[in-house]
Amino acid sequence: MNRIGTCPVDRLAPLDYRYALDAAMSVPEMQATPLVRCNVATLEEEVCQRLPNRAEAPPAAAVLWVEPLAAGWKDELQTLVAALNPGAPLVVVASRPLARLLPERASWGEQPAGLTPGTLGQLRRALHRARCPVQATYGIHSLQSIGLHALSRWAERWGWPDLGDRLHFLARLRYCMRGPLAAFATVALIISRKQQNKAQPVSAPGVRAEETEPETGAGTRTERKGDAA
Amino acid sequence: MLLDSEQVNRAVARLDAWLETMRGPGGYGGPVAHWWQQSLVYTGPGHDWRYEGIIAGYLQLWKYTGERRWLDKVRRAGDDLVDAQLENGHFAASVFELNPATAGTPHEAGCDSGLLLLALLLREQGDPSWERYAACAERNVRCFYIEQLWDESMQAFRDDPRAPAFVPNKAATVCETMFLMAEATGQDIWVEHYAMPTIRRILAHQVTGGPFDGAMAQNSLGPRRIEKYFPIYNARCVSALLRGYRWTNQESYADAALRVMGFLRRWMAPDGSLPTVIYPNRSVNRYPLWIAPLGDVLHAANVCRSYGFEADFSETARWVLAGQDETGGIQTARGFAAQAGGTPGSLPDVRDVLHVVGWCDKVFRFLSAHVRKGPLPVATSDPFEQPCTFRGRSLLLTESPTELVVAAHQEPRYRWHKGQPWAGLAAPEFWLR
Repeated sequence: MNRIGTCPVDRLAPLDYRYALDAAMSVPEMQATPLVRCNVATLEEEVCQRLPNRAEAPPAAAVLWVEPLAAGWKDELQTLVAALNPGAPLVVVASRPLARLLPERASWGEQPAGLTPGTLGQLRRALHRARCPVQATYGIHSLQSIGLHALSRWAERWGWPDLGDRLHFLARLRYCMRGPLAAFATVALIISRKQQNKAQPVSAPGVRAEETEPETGAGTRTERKGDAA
Repeated sequence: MLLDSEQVNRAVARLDAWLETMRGPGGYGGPVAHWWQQSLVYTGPGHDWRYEGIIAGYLQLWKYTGERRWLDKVRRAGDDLVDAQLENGHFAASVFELNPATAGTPHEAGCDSGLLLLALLLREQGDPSWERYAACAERNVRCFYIEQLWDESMQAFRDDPRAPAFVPNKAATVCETMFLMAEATGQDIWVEHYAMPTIRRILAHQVTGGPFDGAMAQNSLGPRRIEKYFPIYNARCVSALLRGYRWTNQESYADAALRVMGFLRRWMAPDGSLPTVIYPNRSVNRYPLWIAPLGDVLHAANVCRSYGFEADFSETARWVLAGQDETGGIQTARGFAAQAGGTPGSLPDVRDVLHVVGWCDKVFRFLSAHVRKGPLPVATSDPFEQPCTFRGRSLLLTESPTELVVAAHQEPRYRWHKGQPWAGLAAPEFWLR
């Protein structure tokens, strides 16, 4: 039965990934029948309960690519971009090196590309070369949020539950980051869009045209610095 | 509690009109704002505790007015749940603020109670379709609550199949379901074996003496009790305690329920509002200062009245009714922006202004118990707009019967076409969980 909301709450993936997948759903084309490539079995149920109906074959109005793997991401990228209609979005949800901090990940067998520093920078550049430039990159579960959460737990433990709660909610407000700090997060959400022939790319949701990230100059330097760190 | 019956009838009619706008394929949907998390991107139907209040509310309207349309709406809500039941007995998207997911607590028990109320009504009328709703509830109760959450050694319903977590208010919701199961099946085991031991464990979480006398600790994990007191959750324990009293005739249960209400009354502000959470060091977080969620406090005060509880919650009722705007929905809160500290600004936060079905149902249930006999006035859900802020941005929220839009300087940042399972547009600040 194709339904939304079928994964039992005690089997949910870490919030980092759920947050990124929900954010991916805010890309309008994703709400129809996108092509989905999910390379981590544990996340498949999360993807399924958001996208019970998917495109069976190209061409696709959108692609959701969850966890490009260290082995083979370059070929997969070419395949997925080729499957996209011109002007259609390709949304990537990928672990970043900080995802190694997530205890739940320990039992996941796959080797995501994003766990290796610098690989997501390569992926972004590969998307650009494939005429599917990145419009926006977000870091989900930022380092700042992780730090505030640690303080929150510390405050609770030492008898200040009120302060603990406030820090918890402050951490939640800092959960998603853009810009250079996005690299210091557990999960990346990358929104790219296949170029139309001689047409301007369309903006990501809620992102004005001037906010979209340049793929040369300062933007590229930032990307390299962030990923290297 | 003195309520102007004309005002109540009008408020209920308008709430009903707004609830109709929130229906889509599969049931009642819309964004959710809550203390723990938000669900602003997923906006599809939630088969959660909203059905407890919706079914109970429409059922009361049917009883008081005799108008067939209310019974049709009760049945339609029951059909939503029957259709939403999965092979494993759970309901799809049953986790309210955590949606999309299933196996939500206490949400599926809330659904079961709604289904059982409907089944009992239909059985009383000799309508054979009652069995369909009763069977749906029983399947969920057996597959989830008995097989996964009942802990024989703890003698109570856990909150998590994998951990010895116990949450009094959630357990109280399950107990209410168990009492209805006993009524529907004629078998005492639902109460004797499951509800009463669980109620005794709920009682063990109640504070005795001192400034917090009557308060229920929020939860426990194994032997560790989390001493935080949430008034709306405390109120949700009251009905189950009173049912325990009626079943056993032991006054300690009624006394515990009345002490919960006494605790709430002592912490009520002159304007009728209540702090969101009270900590054992006597500090509070007032924000978000709930509006629609206080429907459960009013409901609890109402069910306590016949047990000699006379404390006045009229100010709370006025506070809640003042939260009803042109849409007919009741706003969620004030001061969400100060949840993490500071003081709220002059404009409300977007989450304050949102009308959330899973909160409004609580007011609906309370108010529909106070309607004057006879037909309700005709009402509509009118367009509404409100300047507000969200995470530092000045915004304008507009809601009509067909959509909800939040815009900054006329540029939409969030848009939900009612009936759609996902927000059609959600700028990154609306991804907040």
